[in-house]
Amino acid sequence: MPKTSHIAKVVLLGLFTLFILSCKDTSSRFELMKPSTTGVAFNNELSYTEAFNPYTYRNFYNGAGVALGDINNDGLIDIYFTGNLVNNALYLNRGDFKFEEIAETAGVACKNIWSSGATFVDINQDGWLDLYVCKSGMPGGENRHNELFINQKDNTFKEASAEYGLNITGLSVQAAFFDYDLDGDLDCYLLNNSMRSVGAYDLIEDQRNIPDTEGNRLLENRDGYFVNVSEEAGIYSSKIGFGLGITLSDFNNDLWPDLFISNDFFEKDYLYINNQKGGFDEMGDIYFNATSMGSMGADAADIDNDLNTDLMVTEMLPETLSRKKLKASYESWDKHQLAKSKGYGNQFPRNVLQRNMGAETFAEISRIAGVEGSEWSWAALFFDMDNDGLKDLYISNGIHKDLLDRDYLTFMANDEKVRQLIEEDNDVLSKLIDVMPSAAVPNGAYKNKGSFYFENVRDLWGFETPSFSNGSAYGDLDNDGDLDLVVNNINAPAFVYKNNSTENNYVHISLKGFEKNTFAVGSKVIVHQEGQKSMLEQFPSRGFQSAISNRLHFGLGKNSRIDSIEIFWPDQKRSVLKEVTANQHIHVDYKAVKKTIALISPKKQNYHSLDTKGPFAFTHKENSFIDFNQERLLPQMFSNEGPVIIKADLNGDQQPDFFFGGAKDQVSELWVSAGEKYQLSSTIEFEKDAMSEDTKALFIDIDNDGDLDLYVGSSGKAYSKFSFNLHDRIYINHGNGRFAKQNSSPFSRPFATGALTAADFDNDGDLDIFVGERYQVETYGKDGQGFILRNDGAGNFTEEAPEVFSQIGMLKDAKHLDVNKDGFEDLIVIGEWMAPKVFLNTQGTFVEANESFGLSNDQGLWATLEMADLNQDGYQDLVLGNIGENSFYKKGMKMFVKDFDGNGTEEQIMTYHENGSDFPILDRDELFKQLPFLKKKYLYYKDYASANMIDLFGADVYQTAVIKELRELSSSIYWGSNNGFTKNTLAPEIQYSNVSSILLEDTDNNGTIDIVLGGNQSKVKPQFGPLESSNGWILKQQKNGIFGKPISLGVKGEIRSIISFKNTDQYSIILGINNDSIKIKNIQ
Amino acid sequence: MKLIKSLLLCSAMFISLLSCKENNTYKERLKDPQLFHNSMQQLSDVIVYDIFSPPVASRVYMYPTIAAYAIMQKQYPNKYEDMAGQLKDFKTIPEINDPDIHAELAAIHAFLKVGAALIFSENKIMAYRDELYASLEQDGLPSSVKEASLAYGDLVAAHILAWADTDFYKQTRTYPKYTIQEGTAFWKPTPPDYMEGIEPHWNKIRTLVLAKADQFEPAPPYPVDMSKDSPFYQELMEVYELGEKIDGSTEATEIASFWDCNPYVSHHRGHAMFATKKITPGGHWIGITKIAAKQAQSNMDESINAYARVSIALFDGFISCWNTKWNTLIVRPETIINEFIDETWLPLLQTPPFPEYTSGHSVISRASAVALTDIYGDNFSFADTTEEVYGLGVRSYSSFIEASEEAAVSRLYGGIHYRRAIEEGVKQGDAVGKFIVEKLKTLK
Repeated sequence: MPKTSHIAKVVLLGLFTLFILSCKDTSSRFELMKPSTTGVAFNNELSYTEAFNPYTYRNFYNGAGVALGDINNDGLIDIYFTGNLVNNALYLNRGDFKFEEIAETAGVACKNIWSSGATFVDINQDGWLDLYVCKSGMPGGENRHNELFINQKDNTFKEASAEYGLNITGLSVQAAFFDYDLDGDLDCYLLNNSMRSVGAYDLIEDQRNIPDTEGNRLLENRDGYFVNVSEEAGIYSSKIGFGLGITLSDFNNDLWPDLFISNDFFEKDYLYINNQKGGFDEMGDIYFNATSMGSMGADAADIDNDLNTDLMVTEMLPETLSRKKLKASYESWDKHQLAKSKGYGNQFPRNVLQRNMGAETFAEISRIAGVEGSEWSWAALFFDMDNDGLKDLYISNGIHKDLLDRDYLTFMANDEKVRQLIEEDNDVLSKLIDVMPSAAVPNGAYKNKGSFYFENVRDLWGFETPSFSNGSAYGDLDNDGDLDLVVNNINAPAFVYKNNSTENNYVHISLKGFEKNTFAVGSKVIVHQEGQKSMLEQFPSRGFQSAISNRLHFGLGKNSRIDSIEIFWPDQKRSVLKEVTANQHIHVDYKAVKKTIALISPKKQNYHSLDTKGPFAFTHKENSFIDFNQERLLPQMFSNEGPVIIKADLNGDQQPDFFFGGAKDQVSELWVSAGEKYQLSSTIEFEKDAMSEDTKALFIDIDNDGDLDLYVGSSGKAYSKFSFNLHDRIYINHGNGRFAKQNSSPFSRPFATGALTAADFDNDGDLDIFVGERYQVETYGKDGQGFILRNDGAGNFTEEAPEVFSQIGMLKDAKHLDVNKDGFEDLIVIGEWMAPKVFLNTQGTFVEANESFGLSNDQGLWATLEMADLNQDGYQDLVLGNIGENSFYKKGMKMFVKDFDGNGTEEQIMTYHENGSDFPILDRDELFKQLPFLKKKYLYYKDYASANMIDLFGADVYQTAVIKELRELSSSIYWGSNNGFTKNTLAPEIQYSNVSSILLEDTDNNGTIDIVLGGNQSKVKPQFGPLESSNGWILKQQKNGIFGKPISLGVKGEIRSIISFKNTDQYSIILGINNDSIKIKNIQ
Repeated sequence: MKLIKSLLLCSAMFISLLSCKENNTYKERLKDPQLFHNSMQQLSDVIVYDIFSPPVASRVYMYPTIAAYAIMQKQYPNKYEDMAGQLKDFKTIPEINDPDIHAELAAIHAFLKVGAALIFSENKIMAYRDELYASLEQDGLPSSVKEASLAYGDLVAAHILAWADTDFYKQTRTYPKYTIQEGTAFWKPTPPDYMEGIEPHWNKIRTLVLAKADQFEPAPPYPVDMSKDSPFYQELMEVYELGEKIDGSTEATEIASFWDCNPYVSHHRGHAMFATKKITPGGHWIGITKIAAKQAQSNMDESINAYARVSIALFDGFISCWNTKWNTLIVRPETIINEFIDETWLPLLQTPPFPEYTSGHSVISRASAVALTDIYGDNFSFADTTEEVYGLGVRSYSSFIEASEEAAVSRLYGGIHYRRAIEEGVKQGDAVGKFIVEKLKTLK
């Protein structure tokens, strides 16, 4: 000890120094400036009264905004704050973070009126920024209408909204000025929140088509007067528009501005694509696979530097599991389905991050990015906080009173106090609000790590102060080359954050436009550097009720060399600047630079228009069974796993024939080739078995007569465990495409089939079959059994149920492979909540392999297994489809299976692992409805929110329950070698959804095997959110196991089978889609 | 040993004698039926606080009340019949075998103990109970009497709970949720919360006096038929037009609100939401029972007998009605009016989350009224103050049947039932009530 202590001390000292250094280095990327230093004392003070409060005014706690702009053209960005009950404030920037408040003398204080959003715009084209302020709140009062303040060039403004037709009165939220029709002047989109109460009308169809005079407006600038053109331009202005965000961007890269409107409450968000004919087409249903439910502020920016703008929309979902349990309420499955059927889209209670995939498609990837929950959020802003060339994400958070606190809703808001309310006692509402919980939360900061991975850097970057923050805007307030941040808070001084980044390079660009658009709003600027392009669009209104300055800021990383700057002006002309030095503020004047007509790349069609018609047709019709009605605690369904499609040449004409498995209550079909055409063969035999859900099938020669017979495996949860419809069937080929069902089942009991593979396991010259159980139909989570059907050579099977297969798992697939090269075919089986398992065949008897072969630690939700020697090294490689990383399934998640309430039925409870213990993923009401005894222990939501499995069910739950754990979520390749397999996870895009079907074939005829993958799972409860961010992928192999970037197949829906087809030399793939027609894609 | 025991007994007697002399007030208090009424009120309050659905609430009222009745029956065997052999699977409770047991105290204790086991907010019952016992002790309740009575009450409570445990309630918790059926005729969840259907398997719960859930099936509902001359369409239009006619001030509105008895009505104001809770329909009739018992000056055991008979009628009534509801699966007026007639139409009352036919309030009100008429007679005028705490005023009736008929028709005024569900519901309740009156013998 004495000998080492000295060294230890030195090391400690060293560590300590390092720690201090590193602290200094990073702790204050953003420094919260003191109001006493800056002079910015603005505080959006807000108190409720009996007459005016969140019950009487829906948007009471929506807070106010920030607009940044240089109003006196002194090169310093000034700050305008709106206030709800307080006056608005204008802070002149005096340099070096000193500000002077001049709202009163400037004439922009907007006294006694609720102001919401604000934005600067040069409306009269004199080169000086004017100011547009949106008003909201109670009706009445002086100047209740929105106001337009014209800059008098002497730090004063004159109100002139009436002259411009912009003196509009409503529940205005924010306005954005931009040139939608490219006629050269700035038009206006005014976001007005509906006056109507959000009530019982949320499922009435087609309401958004009914225009309302108080709704949203698109205002066309006609020689300086703004005229409402909403209806002609295809803009919804109905009473169900509860918009909270305007986000402008050229989403489809056609150099015409598009428009995204985030709608709170039940109404879906609108994505208006500019139709280039003076209007918009609302195309959200085509572009999005999922949107956020209570959509708040949003922002669009290019996150991955691929020149497509991506989109982030905030919601109200808390960040942690315990706060979710306390603060969030969810739609039921039934309600969600009903809303969808009434045209309200696919909305979910979480933030969404929409990755722009081009070709009219966004992939919703908030969950793989880790940004799906950020508390009750208002603004999202993408900006490069650390100047590394990648835009980071800031989110403002906090609701001053927790309107959705579950205990408040259940126990406080409806007890004696509401009784008083009924009696119309005085001050009941304010007394109710008094007891509403109130907790400030910090804002969010997420560093962009590339490939849509974000790191939460809230504390690291200086955003740890809790607040109720709303409108926010960024700009370089001290002209030091990084972006500072201004935040408007309820009942606290506004935040002014100074950015202290110094380690990277930057460039600032100010654009001077042409006559009627002096600040060139709508421009797109691309900075080209070696190996990197980075793009910004000039649309100042952003985030929530706020506007950024119109100076474009590019972080450049370590590379100070700019190859060129490409500018697309709002009139679709293009300029290129070369030899620009970094770390300066450059001014580009439209009139002074060379311009050419920009080339617009041809419109990329949505892929679904590229479907091919095949020589056969099959439409899978899923039955309407709802697993949740049987097993209430399940987060997702497991009864939509068809169709199975298999092919084989049955009639010896060298053309494949196809079998399509039907869902429950649907007849399976066999299509047989006749020349180049196909015929549906007689369905008589299959009709008898229509009640079965066919999910697995094999063409094999069962009776050793040289032709192929058909084995069909059935599954599904819509059956009792005794149902004969679960039995697998054998159809014997009697020649000429005639099949006859073998009457007796070889199985001693009915069960759901999950895995099938046929091989001559006992080397006696005929084919035996391994059949694995999918799940025990009555309780998901209990392991099923595996069977060998031993063939006597004449097609008679004997069931063998070896002990080693008795608890084999919940199987999804099986393949045979002679792993240990002993001349006997071994088995690899995969399934859900289990690691792949290898069973070695020792002379016809199976034993579970002792060695791991590199597979045994990867407990996953494996769905499909394909095998090929991909890299042509002589070893079979495995490609395994898993659940992916963009879902509610997380590593470390567990499933406990037990009869928790001792009523004779086992339940499964899934848990997340946090801080060393396991917490149910379930909402209190959901769990307690199944296990009412818990309600006695945990009457209040707050108690349940912190209860782990031991608290809930006692310490012995770890001994008495069957427990499974997830350790691997990614779909992966396992490269084969002489000593097992080595894992390589597939590209991030593949992990955007689950993979339930895989095809390994050379699709492009280059001599290497490619990987085609498909999946998705729509049948997930809304709070957990479905997996629908895949449209099918091809990974093309270049050579030696190197694959190119994933190419989308452009197929919507749940792909359940992929099979190839070659007809007159065209290679195509057939995709079997659950509850949809098959899709055929020609591959070039 | 014997000596010590008798010495102890002596001293106990001595102490009790002493205390008797000093303070006997507790005995008077334990005779006062108000004590039981208060305990019942406490249970009602917790049922409201914890939000039990109407059928489940009927179960929470029934078992505690049977516990209290059974003890009264043991105490007064010449006055009351044992319910063992009369209620399904119910075995007689242990005998009173300790002279220290005070039956009324034991009955209240067993009542609260069983009640506490069936509700969630146990602490509320416990607080009430502790306060009650403390004040009785101040009024001279000897600890020996207290201990003996409580021990016996505990024993009976355990006996009742073991019986309750076999009524299939627990098993039905894992039964499938109702799967929404396609088609206009079928019940669908209703605005504003689209709550899932309540207790689709309540007909599996063990009945008490009825032989089976479907013993008294009403005539079938009118088939859902939107052609203008169909009886269904006509009764649908009656609901719609009544809803259009009724505005805030008519007596019909008052009646509808008075008998609303919806345990959970939610109100939305943007993201802000609050709910109002009320007693269940069963709770309302428990309240009327109290009014009747007090007016008739029933003593404690007689009051308990009345509560027991009403809670049994309620319990079997709900099973009978729920069996009909989840077999007929008739759509609510709100759903079908919104779909075909007027998409903004709102019923006066919030539609409760279960199928329409027959009207639960009609069935159980009638069954309760029959039970009360059997006890207190046909001609019983009373002022119904049950809803006063909910700010709904007082209504007066000249008989229980009159009150039950108003309760029934209130559902039509409220826009949540068609007329047939009410008329047939009343008949169904009448049959259930009369069968129970006939079969179940309590007061000798």
